[in-house]
Amino acid sequence: MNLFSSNQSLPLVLSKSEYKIDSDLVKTYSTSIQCEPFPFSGFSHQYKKTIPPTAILTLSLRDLVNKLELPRGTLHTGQEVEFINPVNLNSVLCCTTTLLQNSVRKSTRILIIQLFVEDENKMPILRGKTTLFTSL
Amino acid sequence: MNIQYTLPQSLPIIAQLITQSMIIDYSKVSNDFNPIHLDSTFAIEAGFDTTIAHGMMVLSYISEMMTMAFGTKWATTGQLKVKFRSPVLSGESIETFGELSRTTKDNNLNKAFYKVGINNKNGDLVITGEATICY
Repeated sequence: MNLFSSNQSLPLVLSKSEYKIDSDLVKTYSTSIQCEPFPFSGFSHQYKKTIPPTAILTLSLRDLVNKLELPRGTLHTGQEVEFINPVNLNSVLCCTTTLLQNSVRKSTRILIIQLFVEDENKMPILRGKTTLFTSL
Repeated sequence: MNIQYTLPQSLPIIAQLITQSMIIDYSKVSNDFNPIHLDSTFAIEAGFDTTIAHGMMVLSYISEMMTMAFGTKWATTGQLKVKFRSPVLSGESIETFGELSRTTKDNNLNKAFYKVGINNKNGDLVITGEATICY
């Protein structure tokens, strides 16, 4: 996507991807953070296979970097997120990212991107907003 | 039945050393191979002392803290709004913090708001924000 195009009509859907939350994915995430792969297992049997909510947040942004062809050195400056429903191992999630704002201030391009994740039954899982700063 | 729920004033501190190996693993799971995270020469040219961790990776420790304090309430009702203030360098240690700031009750929905964030080893704020749970 050309971020420098002046005739963008916003909001603009940037990516829509499906992911299966398999054990490899959960393992790679928990290894990188050095956290428990199933952090709620000690709280309730019902949640024994529930993955960390920030793992879903990480996934929701996965395709974005490639889709946007962001310049090297792009900075993530702000994040909002609402966790709506927990996600268990082997769930299939659909992550949608939508460009809400593309503006320039001084020598910086400011991108605000909405995130929305739902499961295969269309149950909402997560919604959020990401702010990115890129140099012009 | 009216169940009383006691909110903690302070949240548990999570301390973590962020290593380059963790940053590399996080690049794989996030698909974010920005050289600012992986190439120290590039990161130095960009004005940092070395590579920096992904903001979302560092943010995960606030979620860890909230999970430790509130368990499944965090996974089902949690909200988070943060700003990334400063980068976390590879090899740097960080520490989370969280303090109860206010509570609200609206239509029988109790909400607790916590001022949360992360400091680096020098005490500089790297992330600040607000986390909310319903109880």
